[in-house]
Amino acid sequence: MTIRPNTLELLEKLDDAFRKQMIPLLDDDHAKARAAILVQLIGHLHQRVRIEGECLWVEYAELRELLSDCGSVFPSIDIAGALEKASAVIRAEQYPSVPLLVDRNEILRSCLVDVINALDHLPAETRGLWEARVFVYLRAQLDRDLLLSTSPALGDAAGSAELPLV
Amino acid sequence: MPQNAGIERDEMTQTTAIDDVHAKLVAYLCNAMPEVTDLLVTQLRRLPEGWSRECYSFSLAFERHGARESHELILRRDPTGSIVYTDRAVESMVLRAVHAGGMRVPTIWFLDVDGGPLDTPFMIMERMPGTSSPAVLYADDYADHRAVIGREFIRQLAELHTMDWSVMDLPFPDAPSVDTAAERAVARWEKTLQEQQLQSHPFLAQSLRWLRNNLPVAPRISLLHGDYRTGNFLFEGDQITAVVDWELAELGDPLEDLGWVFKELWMLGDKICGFFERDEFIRLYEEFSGIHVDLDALRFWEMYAEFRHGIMAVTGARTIVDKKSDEINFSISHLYLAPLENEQAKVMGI
Repeated sequence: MTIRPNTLELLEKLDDAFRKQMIPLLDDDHAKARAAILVQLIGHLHQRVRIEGECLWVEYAELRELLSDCGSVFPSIDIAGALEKASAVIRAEQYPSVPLLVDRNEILRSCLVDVINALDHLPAETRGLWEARVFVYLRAQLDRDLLLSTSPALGDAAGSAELPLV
Repeated sequence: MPQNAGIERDEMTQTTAIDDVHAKLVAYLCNAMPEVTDLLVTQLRRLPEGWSRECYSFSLAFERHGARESHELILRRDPTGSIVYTDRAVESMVLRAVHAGGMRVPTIWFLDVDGGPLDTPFMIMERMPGTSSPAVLYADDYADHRAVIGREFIRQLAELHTMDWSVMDLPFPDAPSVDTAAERAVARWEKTLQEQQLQSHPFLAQSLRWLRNNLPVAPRISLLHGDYRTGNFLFEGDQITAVVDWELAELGDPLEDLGWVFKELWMLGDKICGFFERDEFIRLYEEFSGIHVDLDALRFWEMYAEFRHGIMAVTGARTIVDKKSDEINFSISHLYLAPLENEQAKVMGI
């Protein structure tokens, strides 16, 4: 059975009610600024529900491919062990929930940090090659993170918090 | 209610959280100023500004030596969690030192670093005239004033950077050298990243690697504001009335402040902080300060600024996950990380 309204539809309703029925009634600057942040947060949740699982799935595949390729280049890092440990996080018969996907990726992300920290120990003639490989992954992951960080405008009002982070 | 407090505060429409602050503030002020009578705190309002500290404005009135006095003040209170952890005692010493050095900053009335009276450390200071609103500054019809303010913005930064900090009463006993300033700055935020991160950050690891491989030598050691930008000064007409938020002040390479000023986030079109294009900004800074801006070094500090800001986003995420604050702002601090990393990617060619 599919529960309707689904999660995305509920978030859209929440966003709509907030923008049209609640925010216009606020007359305090602090409350207005915080309400704008809530609207941003709802938009972000909408995006997370839509694409987070898929992003984590693709991230895992790319991390696995990159680390498999550089296994013999960094003998001091237990890349094979990390790959095996990550594989074991989700059993074949198990539902791959978002928290499990996160746990699995974290093992490989941590291993990639070790690889990045070891790049400068490589001979100059091979360093550029592996740096380029790592950069390709970092760019692809950053593009996914940018997509996840976007708060789409769900309603018909601007949702900027208008506050810089500091 | 303390004996020297007035009868009632004004009518307010806000929540019990601010009522609690009001009651504690009145109790504190009555205790801190035993010589006054009929003390009244009115118009207490939480300000929308301030990610790292809670800011409130209020009016304080009392009777002293037979005369009625009225003052407009600001309360800056530490939240229990934040995006950056700084020391109110350090900030107050810097404020007093730069005030003595001639900079326009608020006068501190009270400082409490123990946090007893209002639950967390706080400062009460003079409310300076003007607004800090980027929306006002960046408005089309403010362009003429903006040009004048821009020159003053650069001149005040140059003045700060050329102060003789060695004769000032500052809380920085261990100054870096021109050779160690960049290394020390990077190490500080690397440590913060290690302490605050909830997960591994391969991108930030690469940024750290780039920073370590590109450390510049400083042209001199200066007193830095640490968060000099649009939003952290007050202005009225075409005048800067005060520079505020000194909590990140430190000694270091003056180009570190410039790197923060040049961040993409504060730009208006192609104008740095909405004021001048890059080359003109640098030319004015060099003219006012006499400090040469090495463009490779500036590139390093711009990269560092985006990295440091990214660590603040990471810290804000931990504050939410660890339930250190009920401030909703921190719930979106992680959304800044990817855009900040994207700025770093441009520098590193990723």
